[in-house]
Amino acid sequence: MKRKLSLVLAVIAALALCFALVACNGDGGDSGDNGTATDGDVTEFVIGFGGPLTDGAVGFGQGALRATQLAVAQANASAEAQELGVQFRIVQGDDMSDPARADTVANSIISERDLVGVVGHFNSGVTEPAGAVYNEHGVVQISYGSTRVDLTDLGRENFFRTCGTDDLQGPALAETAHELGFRSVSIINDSSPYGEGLDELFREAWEGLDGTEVLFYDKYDQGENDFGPIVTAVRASDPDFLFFAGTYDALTGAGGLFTRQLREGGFDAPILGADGIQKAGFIDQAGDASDGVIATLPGLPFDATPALIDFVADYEDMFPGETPGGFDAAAFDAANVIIEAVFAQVRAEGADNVATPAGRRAIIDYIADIQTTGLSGPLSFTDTGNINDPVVTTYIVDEGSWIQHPDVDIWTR
Amino acid sequence: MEFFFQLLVDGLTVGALYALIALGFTMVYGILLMINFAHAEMFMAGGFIGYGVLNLLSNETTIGIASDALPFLSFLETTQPFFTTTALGFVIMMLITFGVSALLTGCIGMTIERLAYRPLRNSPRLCALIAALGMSIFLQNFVLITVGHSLIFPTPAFLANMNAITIFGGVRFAPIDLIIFITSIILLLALDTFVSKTRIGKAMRATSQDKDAAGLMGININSVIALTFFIGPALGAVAGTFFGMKYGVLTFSMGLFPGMKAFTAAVLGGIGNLRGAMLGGFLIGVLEALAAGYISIAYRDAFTFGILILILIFRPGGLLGESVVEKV
Repeated sequence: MKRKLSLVLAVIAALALCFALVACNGDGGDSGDNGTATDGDVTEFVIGFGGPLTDGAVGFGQGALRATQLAVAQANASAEAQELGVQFRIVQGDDMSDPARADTVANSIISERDLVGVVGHFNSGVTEPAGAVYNEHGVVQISYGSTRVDLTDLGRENFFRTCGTDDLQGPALAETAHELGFRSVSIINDSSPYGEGLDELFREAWEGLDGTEVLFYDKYDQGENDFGPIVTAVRASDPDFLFFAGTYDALTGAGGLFTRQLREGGFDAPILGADGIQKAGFIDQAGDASDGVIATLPGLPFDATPALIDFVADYEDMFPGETPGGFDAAAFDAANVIIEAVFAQVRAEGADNVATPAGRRAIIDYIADIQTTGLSGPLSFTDTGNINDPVVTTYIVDEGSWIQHPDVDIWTR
Repeated sequence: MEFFFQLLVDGLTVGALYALIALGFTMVYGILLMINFAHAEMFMAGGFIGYGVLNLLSNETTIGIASDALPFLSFLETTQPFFTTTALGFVIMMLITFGVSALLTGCIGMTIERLAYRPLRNSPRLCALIAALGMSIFLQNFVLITVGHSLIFPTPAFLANMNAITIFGGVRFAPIDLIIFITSIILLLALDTFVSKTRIGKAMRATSQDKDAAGLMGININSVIALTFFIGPALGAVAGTFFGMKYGVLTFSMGLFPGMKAFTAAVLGGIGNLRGAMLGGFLIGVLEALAAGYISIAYRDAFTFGILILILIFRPGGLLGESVVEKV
C-alpha cells in the first residue's frame, strides 16, 4: 500500500515538474536544431518572435504573433521566395512580460543557427534587456510595441521599432483631452516602465497647456486586483477626466479590472488611456464599464489604407474569430522589413551568406536605409531607429468595440 | 470622514475574504504544524469551479453545450430563466454555486492530503512543506494548461441590476460587498460554533492539542485531519468564488497574493488560533486599505508584509496566540 502511494506521489511530482517545465518554455520549446537547414534547393531561415504569450500582456503578444505568422506565411508563398529558394520559420520566445525572463528568452532565440532577425519584444522593460543580447550577437531587432522613448537612445545600431513612441502619445493625449474641453485630471499609472514613461510625458505636455491642473496622482503595483482604496481616492478628487497610464492585462488584467471597479465604485468622469488598453481584450475584461473609454494608438486606423484593409481581411481569414488590433499592424510591418532585407541579401550574396555575422550586419545596414511601403504608407527609419512621420489616432469604445473618435482628428507632430 | 469610512468598507470586504482563506492556513497548522502552501491554490480552484457552476446554471451557451454532451443536463434549460430573472432564483443559484464549489474544492483538498501529505506525516516537517509547494506549482500549471491563463467572470445579471447603497452622503456599499461581508460573518460564526460546541469539533481541538493522546482516546486521527482538509479548502472556495464575482477575472496565479495576505493574517492573529485568523483577516484588510488610501496604493503590499515582519520579531505568537511551550 505504502509503495503504491509513493509511486502515485512520484508520478504526480514528475507530472508537476513536466508542467512547470512546459510552462517555463512556453511555446518556444520546439526550437531544436534539426540538422541542416538547407533541404535540397530550399534554405530555411529563422525569424525570432519575442513577446508575452502565456502571462502578462498576452493579448498584445498573441496578436503580434499572429501578424508575424501571417507575414511569414505570405512571404513563404510569394513568388520571390520560390525564385530564391528561401523559406522562413518562426521561433517563439515567451517572455511573459517579465523583464527577469528577457535574458533567457533572448538567449534561446539567439541559439538558433539560422536566425536572421527578431520581431520583438512587446513590453519596453523586456525589450531593453533582451535587446542587449541581440545587440551583442549583432542580430537585428525590430520591436512592434515598445514605445518607451529612451529605447532608441541606447546606441544600439541593430535596434528599430515600427511602433510610435510615448513622446508622441504624451502630447497627443494631452492635446486631445484639452481639445475635448477637459481641464483637471487625476493620473494613475501601473508602475510598469511603460506606464511610468507615458505618465511623465503626458504630464509634461499637459502642464504646458492653458488652464490645466493635476488633482490627484498615484500608482499601483503590477499584479494588483483590488482597487477599492484607489477608486475611493480618485472619486474624492473629482477630476474632469482620469488618465490611466498602463496596460490592460499586466499580469492580472489590472487595467480592465481597474476600469470596471472605477465604474462600479461610482466614478463617472471620462477615462483616457493610451495604446496599452486599445485592444478588444480590454473591452472583454472591463465589460460595460469600457463604454466611452478613450484611447490613442500610434498609426492609422485599420480602414485607412487599402493595404490595411487587405491586412485585416487576410488576418481574419488565417485566424478565424480573431480581429487585428493593438500593435498587430506594427508587428506585420516589422516582420516584412526583416523579410525584405533577407531577400535583398540573398540576391546580393547568396543564401549561404545570410545567417552569418557579415550577413546579419548587412541586414542591419539594409534596414537602416530601407525605403519601403508598410501598411500605413511609406516606411523608413530615422538615424536612431524610429519610424519617420508617425501619426496617432484617437479611438473611443462604442457599444463594445473600438471606433475612431468622431470628434478628434488624426494627430501629427 | 466620508473618505475614511469608504476605505473602512473597502477594507472590511477584502478582509472578509482574507479571513476565509486564513482559516484554512490556521486549521491545518493547528493540527499538523504545517504551512499548507497549496491552500492558496484551493482558493483559485474554488473560483474556477464556482465560475463553471454559475455558467452552467445561467449561461445559455454553456447550457447548450453541456446538454448536447450530457442529455440529462437538459433540464437546466428550463430552470435558467428562473435563476437569472427572479430574486428567489438568484439566491438559490448562489447557494448551489457556492455549495458545489465548496464541496468539490473540499474533496480536492482531501485528495491532496491523502496523496501528498499523509504518506509524509511521519517524515521531517520540511518534506511536507516541500510537498505543499509542489502541489501548489502542480495545481497552478494544471489550471494554466487545462483551462487557460485567465477567465472573465461575468457579473450575474441580477446582481448587475442592483444599485449600490449610499449612506452618510457618500459611503457606497456595492451589493456584492454586502453579500461578501454578511456571508463571511455567517460562515465564520458557524465554523466557530462547530469547533467549540460539537463532538467533532471537540475531536478536532483534541487532535490539535496532542495527536497521539487523542488517538489513544479513541479519536480517528485520519478522519479528523481529512475533515480539516475539507473545511479549509471549502471556505477557501467560497472566498475564491466571491473574488471572481467581485473583481470579474480569474487567473491561474490569482491565489498568490491573497494567499500570502491570508497567511499574514493567520500569523497576525496567532497561527493555529481560529478566532485569531478571523481577527487577523479583517485587521489586515482594513489596515492595508487605510495605507493604500492615505499613503499610496503602491505601498499596500509592502505595508502588509511589513506587519508580518514586525509580528514575527516582536510577537511571534500573534495577537491571540498562546505562548507555545516547545514540546520535547
